[in-house]
Parts: sequence; C-alpha cells; structure tokens
Amino acid sequence: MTAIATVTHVDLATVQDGGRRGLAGIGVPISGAWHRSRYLVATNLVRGAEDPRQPAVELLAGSMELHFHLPTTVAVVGPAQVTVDGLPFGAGVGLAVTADVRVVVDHRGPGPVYLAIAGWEAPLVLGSAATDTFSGIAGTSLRSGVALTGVAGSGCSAGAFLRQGDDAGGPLRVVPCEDVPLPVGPWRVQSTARSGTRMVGGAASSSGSRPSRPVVVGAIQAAPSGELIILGPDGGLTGGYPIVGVVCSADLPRVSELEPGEEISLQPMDVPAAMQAFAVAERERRVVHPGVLGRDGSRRGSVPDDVAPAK
Amino acid sequence: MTAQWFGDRAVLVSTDGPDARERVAQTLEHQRESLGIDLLVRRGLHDVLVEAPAPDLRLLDAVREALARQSSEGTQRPVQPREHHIDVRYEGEDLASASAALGVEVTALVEAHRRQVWRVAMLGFAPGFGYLEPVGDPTLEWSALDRLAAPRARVPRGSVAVAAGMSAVYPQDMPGGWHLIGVSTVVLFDPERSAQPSLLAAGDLVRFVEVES
Repeated sequence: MTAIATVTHVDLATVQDGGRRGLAGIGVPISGAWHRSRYLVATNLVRGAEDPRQPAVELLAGSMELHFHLPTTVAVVGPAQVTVDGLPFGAGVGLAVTADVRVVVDHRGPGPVYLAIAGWEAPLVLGSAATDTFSGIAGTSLRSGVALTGVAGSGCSAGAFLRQGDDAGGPLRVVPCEDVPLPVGPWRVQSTARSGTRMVGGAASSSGSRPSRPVVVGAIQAAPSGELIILGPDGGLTGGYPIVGVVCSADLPRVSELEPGEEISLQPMDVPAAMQAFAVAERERRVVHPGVLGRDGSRRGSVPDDVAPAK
Repeated sequence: MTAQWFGDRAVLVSTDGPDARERVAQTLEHQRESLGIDLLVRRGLHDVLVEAPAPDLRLLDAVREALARQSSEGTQRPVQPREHHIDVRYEGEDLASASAALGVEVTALVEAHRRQVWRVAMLGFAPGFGYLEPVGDPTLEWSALDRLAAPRARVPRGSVAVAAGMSAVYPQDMPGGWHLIGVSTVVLFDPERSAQPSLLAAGDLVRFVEVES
C-alpha cells in the first residue's frame, strides 16, 4: 500500500462507503454515504461500475485540499467547485490527475459532496470503511497530514454522469405509519446531522411513548416537544417515540440536502408507489464512460445528446 | 399480532408482549432462508422488524406467509438460548438512591438483581448495548424505577444499570439516564472479534455474578 494522496486541509468531512449492512441487530448502525445516489455515481466514475465497497470522502461543509503523489482518477459528485492546480472544473466528472497536483474541493451545498479516488483502500472495521459519527466505533479520522493509501494505477478513465437534476423542490414523500395522520406541515428544518434531521413548526400529535421498537433510516419520530426527527444513517436503532412515517427510499438522499431554516412539507405515498419511485430513481442514475468531456467541455466519442455533467 | 409495512423496505410485526415477540422472532429467523430475501430480523420490546436491503414488494406477503405457515405447522422446538454470566461489583453511585426509590435495603436490591434471570430483549443505543428484561417472576418491582430525571453526559464503560423494568451494562463511555448500581469488567463489544463483535445477541439469557471489591 502506497500513499496516493495526502490531505492538506479538510473541514467537516468523514470517510464513507455503502455502509455496515446487517449489524443493526447488535446495535451497529448502517452508517455509510448519506446521499446514496451521489456516492454511487462517484464510485462508478472511478471504478467503472457502482461499488458500495469503494471508500469516498463525504464533505458536508467547508473545503478539502489534497496533494496527489501518484497519477489516478478522481471523481467529485455533488454541489462543489473543484480546482486542479488552480484550474476550475465542475463537479460530476471523473478527472484523470497526474502526480504532484493539488486538488481543492469547495462545498457549495446543499447536501453532501463525495470525493472518490481510484485505488484508495481505507481501513475496514466490521467489513466497512464507513465512519459512525455517533458511536465512533470506526472510521478514518480525516485531518491535515493524513495519507490516503492504496494501490496506484487501478483507476478507469474519466467520464461524466447524467441525473435528472437533484429534484430539490416538492414535498418529501413519506410512507405513513400506524394510524397517525401524517403531519404534512410545512415544517422548518432546525438542525441537520448524520444521526438525525430535526424539524419544527408543524403540528404533530405526539401522544406519549410506547415500548421501544426497532426503527430504520428515514423513520420520522414525533418527539414530545412537538418536533419531528428524521433518522439518518448514524441514528438510533430503537426508539419509543411515535413514528409518523418513513421517508420513501427514493427520497432518502433528499433528506441529506435539507438545510437549517429551509421549509419542507411531507406528502403521503403508498408502498407500491414508493417502490415505483425507487425503481425510477435507480434507472435514472447513469454514468457514461469513458472520457466524454474534453478540457474545453467539448464532447467526444459516442455520447448521447442528453448527457451532461451535473453542476 | 399484526404485520404491516414500516416504510418501503421493512415490515413491522407487533405482538402483545416479550414472550410473543420472542416466538415471532424465532419463527422468522428460522424461516429466513426460505423467505428468499436477504433479510434482517430485529427485535423491539414488543415488536419484530424485518428489514430488506432495498424496497421489495414481496416482503409483506413473505412475512405473513411465514407466520401463517408457522401457526398451521405448530411451534418449532424453542431454540436453547445461550447464557452469559457477567461479573459485577455492586458499588454504583446510584445504588442507595435506587434502593430507596424501590423501598428496599441496598442488600435486598443487590440480592434481587443477582437472582433475577435476564433476557436480552433487543440491542441498540450503542453497539453491543443489550436491553435486559426479567424472565419469569421479577425478583423485585423493577418497573417501579423510572429513568433519571437528568441523564448523565458520560457514563463509564462497564457500568451496570437499572431503569424502566430493565437492566443493562454500558459497552462504552456514553451518555445515559439509567440508575448505576454496579461495575463490571465484561467486554460487551469488540469490533476486532469480527465473527462475533457483540457478546450479547437478542434472545440470550444473562445472570449477574457478584464479585467482591
């Protein structure tokens, strides 16, 4: 294992991958990338296929700067400005970098930005490189001076990805639970974290607690204070608060895009419709290989007309 | 007993109590392979959650069929639970106040806690944190003891605690709102034990063994 790159500056960021599946029964949250679709696109750009074992940096705020020691492919996906040795690039493309270059990623929000590096192998705990920000049982501490190691030269060529835009508008679609009517809101986002997103200002009937039961990522708890908490990937695994519903899988990435102060409404969705929405979201996520964009933005090769790198 | 969707990736089976929950959980674990989906069976105090890795419209019917098959074929032989003996020095800082709240002498609380057979109802809160429920007749009115009014910001790893009808051992330093009655040397969670990182699994039995300070 050799050092592919060294972190020279980093703000709010952790190492994530597809998460620690199957361990919730012993109290270990799934963790992993908060915005699954952006993350999977980033893995595809550096590996040639979606790969939940590929580690990526999840940047939630601020910026990150890396000094590359070896040539490889870097992908940045999400709302960010990328510069390679001062030359600006949009996010959403795989970039071939040479040795001794400096890559700066500026988070522009909303939501997480993913940086994947071909060949990077982060240490695994219980089969995953994901950082659990709540229990702290695992994860690489990202700070200035840390080397990202791996096997060099295993990258694939650069590509661009297509997504029908981060659909930022519209209500969050929720599969209702129990016989509690869904408190549609509008709600105001009070705080966001990988463990949970808190919302206030709507009317929820939270009648006491019930025997603690298992919960899932996206479950919406009604706290006695009247606020709603949407559980995130590092969130609690059991809880006694009433659950008003569970965010449908297709809209889970949008939860990570919510920002404090933002208003959001909830919209009930039945299970067959939620399944359909998930299938559509999976189909729309597409990456085109290889090297479809020139440095001047020109397209080469057999690139469909509708392909464009995301902002 | 009812089975219903809990979002688009999970089905929640609600039961009327711990014994029914245990039967349902064992049934579903027993039939997990025949359900044909890569499922995770998780317990709550009264509920069992069956979680699929991705949305799958077959999940609810598969769970309902598994439960129906079980009730028509009769209960399978119950799995013999594993039993753990966990050492404890009864010197927690809330020992006196918890005893007073329960209206018993400290020695009576210690004796009751030691004699009680506990079962791991579920794990959560932190990796390896088992919620222990009394099995059989409670040796003391454990449910009469509430959680602390003001939770502690940090409870040391190994603390043995009681609250809300349950007992627990803290697997790591973490916040907590239970009454601390003792200290144990047990290692509840170790990610390096990759085959079995958590000492406790849901359904296991636990007995506390007093050691002298």
